[in-house]
Amino acid sequence: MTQAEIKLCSLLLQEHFGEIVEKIGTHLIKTGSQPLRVIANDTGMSLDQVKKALCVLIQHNLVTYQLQKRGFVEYEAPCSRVLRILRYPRYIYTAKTLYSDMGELIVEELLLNGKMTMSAAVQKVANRLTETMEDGKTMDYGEVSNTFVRLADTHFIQRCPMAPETTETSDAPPPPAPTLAVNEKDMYVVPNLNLIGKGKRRRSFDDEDNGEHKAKRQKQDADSEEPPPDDGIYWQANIDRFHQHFRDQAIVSAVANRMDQTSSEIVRTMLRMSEITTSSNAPYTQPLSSNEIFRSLPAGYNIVKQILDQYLTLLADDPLEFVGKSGDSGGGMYVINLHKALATLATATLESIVQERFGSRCARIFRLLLRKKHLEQKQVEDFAMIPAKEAKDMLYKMLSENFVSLQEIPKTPDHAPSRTFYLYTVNTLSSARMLLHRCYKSVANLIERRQYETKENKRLLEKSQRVEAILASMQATGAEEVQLQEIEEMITAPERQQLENLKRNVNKIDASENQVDETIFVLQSYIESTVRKL
Amino acid sequence: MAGRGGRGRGRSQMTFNVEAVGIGKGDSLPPSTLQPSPLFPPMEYKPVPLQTGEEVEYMLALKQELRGAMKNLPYYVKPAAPKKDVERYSDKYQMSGPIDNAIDWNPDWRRLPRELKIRVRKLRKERTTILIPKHKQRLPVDKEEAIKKLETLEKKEEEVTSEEEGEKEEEEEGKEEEEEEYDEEEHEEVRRLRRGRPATLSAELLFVAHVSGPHPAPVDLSGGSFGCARDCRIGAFYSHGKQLAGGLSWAGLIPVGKCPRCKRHRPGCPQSRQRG
Repeated sequence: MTQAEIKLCSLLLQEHFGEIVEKIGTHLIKTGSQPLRVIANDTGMSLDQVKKALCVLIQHNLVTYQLQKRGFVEYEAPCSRVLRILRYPRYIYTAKTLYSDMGELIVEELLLNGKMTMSAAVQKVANRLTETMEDGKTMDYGEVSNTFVRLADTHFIQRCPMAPETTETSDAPPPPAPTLAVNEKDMYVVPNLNLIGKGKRRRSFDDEDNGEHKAKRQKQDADSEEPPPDDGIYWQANIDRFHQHFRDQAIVSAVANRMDQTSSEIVRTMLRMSEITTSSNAPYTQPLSSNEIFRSLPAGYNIVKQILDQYLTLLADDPLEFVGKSGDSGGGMYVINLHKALATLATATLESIVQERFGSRCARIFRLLLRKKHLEQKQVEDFAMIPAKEAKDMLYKMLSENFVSLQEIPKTPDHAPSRTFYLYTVNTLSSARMLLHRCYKSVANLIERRQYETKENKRLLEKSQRVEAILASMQATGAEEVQLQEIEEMITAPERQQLENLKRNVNKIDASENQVDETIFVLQSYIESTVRKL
Repeated sequence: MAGRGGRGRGRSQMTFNVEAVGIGKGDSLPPSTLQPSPLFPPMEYKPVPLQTGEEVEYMLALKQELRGAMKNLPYYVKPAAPKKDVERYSDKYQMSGPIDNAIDWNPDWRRLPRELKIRVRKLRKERTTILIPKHKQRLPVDKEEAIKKLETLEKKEEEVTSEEEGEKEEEEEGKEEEEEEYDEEEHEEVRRLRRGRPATLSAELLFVAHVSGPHPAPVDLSGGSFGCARDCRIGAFYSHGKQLAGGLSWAGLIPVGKCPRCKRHRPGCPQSRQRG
């Protein structure tokens, strides 16, 4: 956990959960596993506040607890999970593209609430959809449940670890913390619920429905006293699966950019076939035969088998090595080299960053070094066809920013400087880490700047909110145009200009945060793929 | 790393051969840095403009919406509001936040360690409200009886003085109005009693009580100024059904006797006056 990561985590927690949760979360990230009393002592907050914050963090899967042998419970916060908060909009948007509005709302509810039971989630989503529908129409629970089941089948949502069943007859006192067990088999099994019902609208203006409403509310209270049939089975969003999807998307678009649409479709088909069979950090997918790929191509594509074979050969021979040939049976066995693909994507990101920051000539030197691995000063000038002085200057600039590093190769055992080779090289892994750290820093800076801008104009924002509220209430009660105009004029023209500026700036900063997050994703996936998991 | 050739012996000697890196003889080195890099270093190349498109716009809107939505969820733990300098009347009726730092939502306690559960202490207010209903239950009943008695007495008066009907009608109307007022005031008193505050004296009620007959209905009075010296709520509800002596006790204005709670004589009580 670098300083930049900790700072970003604390900013994210503060924005989404408030100051108290932020203090405790940051403390846990910095210091690792701690029991409750130590946290309260170190942060100087009251025990009640610490308990509240821990409940919230555990509910959102940001903190895990463990029962130690001595009998006390320790809490731990993994930094990486907190950083995912930045990516929530992307997850929700992905769900929307795959499963339309219902999927989007289900994933949104699960992310906002941490974990929920299926019945609660379906109910909430149905209510929300009903409110957006026209008057008189309601959303049926059945449709929402179907979408829920589909999300579970494709592993986008998963079950949380289960709490042990409490047996009434146990003599021993209950343990201070339940040990939650992960049941691999049942992770995506949807309980067999018979959810019948329709979404309810929140009516605030209808007087006629008040009587019915009260009766309904009473009934609902009676229902909520009985435990729902899927009590204890909680669902959460499966972040890893979303990451897998993003990775696949990136690979497909890279192939489309490099070659053409058809080859990207072929790669997409191959990835889809190996979605569930390959684990998320496998170096390559399971081998797929050309016949299988041909059968699984989407229905709209009419390419002949021979053309498919040609495409596959082309992909396998490409120097980027996205696709590799692993055998000849079944018309040729092909795999997708996931780790290599991630490395290529990260390298492409690096190149693009060098180009935008230092210019295209520096980028040429950088690409040269990537290709040739190690080069001396003289060789760089020769290969890049750049005059010596400029080449020197560019190399030093990149060296000072740590994109390029020096490798010493001594000729004599005494390492005399006059008799040592000094070779420039690019170490992609370390450059990627350095850039990732820089990305975290930039997002933290962006958030700070946005908060500063909002704070500066707080008074103006509040005034505009009030004016809007007044306008809305007056329009509801039916006011004349003149009156409405008068109220609108309460905000003067320069103030309006200021508000416009503020809105534009805040939008820009938010969009930049989203974009930096995409870079963070690519770099992080690459770094994770290189870490060998034991 | 920089030159260590002190006392002007050699101009910056370095540990490695400078020529190999590319700095030829006679070239001047770039100036050494004496201060940290500027906060906003100047950029040579302007950055590429941000991505635009439907997708980007949608995610932007989503992000801002999420931020706003999270602020309203119960998971957003607001710091406790700072205590104001003076207690305001409205504080009592504004529920600001959960009681005793408890959480607004109900987690599944089976999944959480036991130590995280916050015990909520019962409010002390509940105890006082338990006692009041006993008195309250009597009050409306008594008042209803009083109203009925008043009505019957009115009718008797009507029969007796049937000659002066015009005036009587006015009186009746007046009395009806007064009765209605009494009703309202009675209700107000009941409401005030429920809130635990002493009700104001209703002089008309007393007047009627006095006029209506030798046997005044045992109406409870709660005079704020005639309550117990310590302003304990129990003493304020002490009924005045007993025979009174001295002062304004004929109007039943002064409850007599000791406050049952704190055993002190009330300030207006004749006995306490004797003591000085």
